[in-house]
Amino acid sequence: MKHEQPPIARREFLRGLGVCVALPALPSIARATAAAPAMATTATGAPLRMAFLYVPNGVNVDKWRPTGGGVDYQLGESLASLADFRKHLQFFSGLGHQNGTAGRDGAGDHARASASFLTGARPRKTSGADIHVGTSVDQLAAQHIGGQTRFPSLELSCDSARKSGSCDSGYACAYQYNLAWRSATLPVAAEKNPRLVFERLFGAGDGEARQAALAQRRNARKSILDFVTDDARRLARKAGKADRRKLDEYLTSVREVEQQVEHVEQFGDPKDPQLATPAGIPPAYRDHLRIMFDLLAVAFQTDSTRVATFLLAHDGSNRSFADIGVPDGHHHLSHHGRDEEKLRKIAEIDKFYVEQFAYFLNVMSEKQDVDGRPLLDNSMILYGSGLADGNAHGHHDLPIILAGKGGDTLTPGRYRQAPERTPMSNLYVSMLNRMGVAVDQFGDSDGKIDIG
Amino acid sequence: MTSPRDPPSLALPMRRHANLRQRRQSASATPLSMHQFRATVVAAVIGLAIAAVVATATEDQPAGAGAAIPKDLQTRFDAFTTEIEPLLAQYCHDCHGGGASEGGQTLDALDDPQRLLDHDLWHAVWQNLRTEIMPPSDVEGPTDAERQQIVAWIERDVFGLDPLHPDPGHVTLRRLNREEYRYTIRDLLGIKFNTVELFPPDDTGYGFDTVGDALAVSPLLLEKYLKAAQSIFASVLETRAAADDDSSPYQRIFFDGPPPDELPARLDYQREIFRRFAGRAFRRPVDEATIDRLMTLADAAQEDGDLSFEEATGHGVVAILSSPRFLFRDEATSSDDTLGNALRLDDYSLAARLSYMLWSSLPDEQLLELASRGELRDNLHEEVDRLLADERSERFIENFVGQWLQTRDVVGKHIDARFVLRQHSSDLDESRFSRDVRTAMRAETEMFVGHLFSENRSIDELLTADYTFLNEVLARVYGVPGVEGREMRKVDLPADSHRGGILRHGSLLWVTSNPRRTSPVKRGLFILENLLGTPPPPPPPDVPELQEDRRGSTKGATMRQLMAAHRADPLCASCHARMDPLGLALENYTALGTFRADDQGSPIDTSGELITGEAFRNVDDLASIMVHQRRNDFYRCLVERLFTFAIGRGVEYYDAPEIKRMVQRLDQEEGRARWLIYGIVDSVPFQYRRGDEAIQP
Repeated sequence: MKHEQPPIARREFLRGLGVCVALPALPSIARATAAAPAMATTATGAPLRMAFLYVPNGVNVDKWRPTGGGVDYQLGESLASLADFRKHLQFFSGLGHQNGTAGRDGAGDHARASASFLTGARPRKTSGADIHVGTSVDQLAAQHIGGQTRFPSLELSCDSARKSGSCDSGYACAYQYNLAWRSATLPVAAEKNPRLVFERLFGAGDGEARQAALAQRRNARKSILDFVTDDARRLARKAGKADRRKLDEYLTSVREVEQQVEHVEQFGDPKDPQLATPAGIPPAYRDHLRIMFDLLAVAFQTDSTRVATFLLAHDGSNRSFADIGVPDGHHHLSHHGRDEEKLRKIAEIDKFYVEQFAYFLNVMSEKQDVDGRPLLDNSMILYGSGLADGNAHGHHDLPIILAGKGGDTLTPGRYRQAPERTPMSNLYVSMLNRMGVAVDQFGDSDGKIDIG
Repeated sequence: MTSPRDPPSLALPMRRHANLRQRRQSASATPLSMHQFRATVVAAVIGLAIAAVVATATEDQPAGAGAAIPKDLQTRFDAFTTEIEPLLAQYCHDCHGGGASEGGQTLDALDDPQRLLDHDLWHAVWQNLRTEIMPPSDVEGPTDAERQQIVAWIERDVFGLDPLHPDPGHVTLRRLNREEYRYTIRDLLGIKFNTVELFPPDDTGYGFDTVGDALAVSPLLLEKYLKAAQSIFASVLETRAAADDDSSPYQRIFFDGPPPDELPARLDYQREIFRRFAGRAFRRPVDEATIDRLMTLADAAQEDGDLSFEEATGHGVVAILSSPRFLFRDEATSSDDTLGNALRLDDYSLAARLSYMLWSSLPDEQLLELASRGELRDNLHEEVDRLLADERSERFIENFVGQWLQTRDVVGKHIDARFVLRQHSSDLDESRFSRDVRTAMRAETEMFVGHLFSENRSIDELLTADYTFLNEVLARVYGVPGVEGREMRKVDLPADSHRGGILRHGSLLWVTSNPRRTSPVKRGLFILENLLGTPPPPPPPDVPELQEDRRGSTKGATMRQLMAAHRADPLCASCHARMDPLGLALENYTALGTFRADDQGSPIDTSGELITGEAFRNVDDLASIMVHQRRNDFYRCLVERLFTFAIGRGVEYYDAPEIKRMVQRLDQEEGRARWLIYGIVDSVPFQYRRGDEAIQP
């Protein structure tokens, strides 16, 4: 294991150059032999990762959808920036979420688009009480394989502000602002501030101070965690059912923090990434997205986690994109009514998001994994939206891209046309299996998708 | 309001009625006067003491649904057949019977008693009747007495509500939201901790971030709580130098300065530190067992880490600040003080409900003192007055108004000022719409509502005031002369100012607009949801938003002409007939909130009518109708919004008797704003917990 890499200036970090940072020493191999089956591990023994990236409000389908089929396909116009990665990508048609559709629940397609996206489940329509959807695919994976890394999963978002008042058509806001669901009733909050993401992963301060801070935090925590666990149990004993559920959320969180401490005791402190701590949230959205992608790549490379979700913006987001000449609100535009000008602007926004995705793929392919291969080869990165055409609030035939070779278990470079109305959850089953999670069924799945 | 099951559409869609409405000759509504409303309520004023006496006789009965149904289903059905069905036949069956099923609902052929158990059906009937949305204003409707008869019958025989035994409902254990955490730390320790930057945004329920069910805990948040507690204690130690200052953060924990040298005295000191600090942080006295555990914790830390007295004590402080007893609003009840199956909250819990409502923070010493002496309930209104007089009540305005009227969103919301100004050939410069003016817009609305509470003005002024709060930048945008400087102050508006009342506040106009144009739909919906409490059901699925601004293809069309498309399709018309006219009444105000006499050369027609039939010519008329003919809806809406914020759950059908009492009292007190608060704090849901779910002491 080498540590000669010089510290990297923040500017380089921001650019996300494909620098080689200090690498973990093939931990998965060691663990695979110690514990029974190798999970989330590639054939070479390197970690296998999965990430889910969400873009809101659907797309301009005509300019997005590939043409042709199989290996002989042409990229849609909005996806031009992905040209270099053709051989790393799989495109799908026919995948969707029946549980995103109105059914008997009426309006609220944006809430349902987000809530169903990774759960394959129908969110219960409520403004606050009885929130209920389903465990999300990332969290299910984290529950199975999360013990191997310091963080079972990482949740990122670029949404800072939330709208006051009620959310989409009688749905609680939790459905719209969370992708990851630990259980049917418990969303997992995401971190938006790059500095805080970094400090959580690698400690606060610089260099040695970082390491010291981590060690100190750990010792102090154990006895404090015992105390608060005791407190929570005492409260739970006299609490009613709904209150006990809240205390369970608390206790579960305490346990996870304890596991982080134990993990470090077992496997040592995380390797310092030799990077400067990023400043807070950059003013430009593009920079914010990119630094979050940088951090995600570093988290994967240091094997801090193998599972991640990133909400680029919540569904229904009305963000305006003045920087690219689209001052209108995204959500407003998405109801284009076939208006040419609006469709053009939507395609501009689609291009913007895809360019940031291309940036991430670039970072992931320039970073080297423990087995010497590009990080991207040992990953499964899903990029997509819970709506197809925002105008019609379509929940079928979603725009979905799967990037990476999944440790050579995937065969990218294809446009796969699934039968109409194939559950998106089928794809999740196929991905979960590759992560070592032996399930035949997830969400509303009724089979698997051939991605190998 | 929602039913306990899946919330149904709050109102029956009324597809055909939109057409009926167009045939109407005259709009003569006879709104229900508060007077008649009062007359029909049995034993409306329940002194809690009286109720408690009654309660002892019936303590075996569960509170809420079922408690007040002495009759079996058949008996209830017989009463329905003789008393209620004839009224339905007379007023409803034309559209909801005899083969007609407007909105998919039929109200005839109710020959099966089981249909009385169809909660969703009756909930919808109840909602539409009491707000006079049904029957439509252009057909013959029931008299006020008949309307009340049906409403009261639904509440009694379908919902099973008993005004003498209100169900306090269930409030799920509430985590401190990030605003409350921030202010609690500030008041507890005198330390400013920036939760907005460091904590993730809280999820909201029913429009507020105080709703327990929506406030989740995740590992990320718990990590942040632990880290926050450590960094807060580090800040405490930094103020050690100012140890002689009683209010320094250091002194608030180490109340007697540095520790004595001898061991027994040191331990006594540490024990007392924990007792005081945990008592304040947990908002009630702590038991010896807790103190013992804290002492053990500090002792172990000291031995392990060779720590100083202060550092070791700090471990206990961090544990207290990370405990669920600090992070959640742990409440206790007194089991010997019941109302039906409802248990009364103990005084410490009540003190915390009061302080978190009005200060977003923990109770101060006086509140705790009153609680410890059992005197808080006797001084509740005085304490409300005292808390409101304190500057910490600004947080109540900031958090309640910020979410209710969405003033939190003004500063961050983008409107394309250059585009809007150019469209209206305004002589204002886009630079006028900087952060400064948006901050002033927010302050205008918040100071204005704050003024209503602090001066105990009538809440009618919310809509009709002839004064507002301005500084120079905002006054320029409004075109109000003679206001100079940055400081916001109360300004009496000239008669021709086109301002006054929140319908003409920049904040409301701004947050309800799209980036480049006004949205009459959003504005109408805002009024219905937040001021009248009568939101339309959500649009049917998969119906795209209407094309309201094809300025390219329909150059010169006014917003009203564009909105007319909503009326062309009966499916859209039934709900847009409720929203659009209200929004169009505000068309004299651009997306930026500036006044305009015309819309790109076309005259602006602001006239319209409410779904309940009242016609208006302009926003002045609309405001006047809202505080007179629709006063009951307006008052009830405000009560329900504050109820949700203060109690931390959505308003349910079983709250109807208590809400009704609050609305009536508010009306008796001429709408004085404090009676909004007094009504809430006096109510059973504020003072009690549901018995079968309450935390035992």
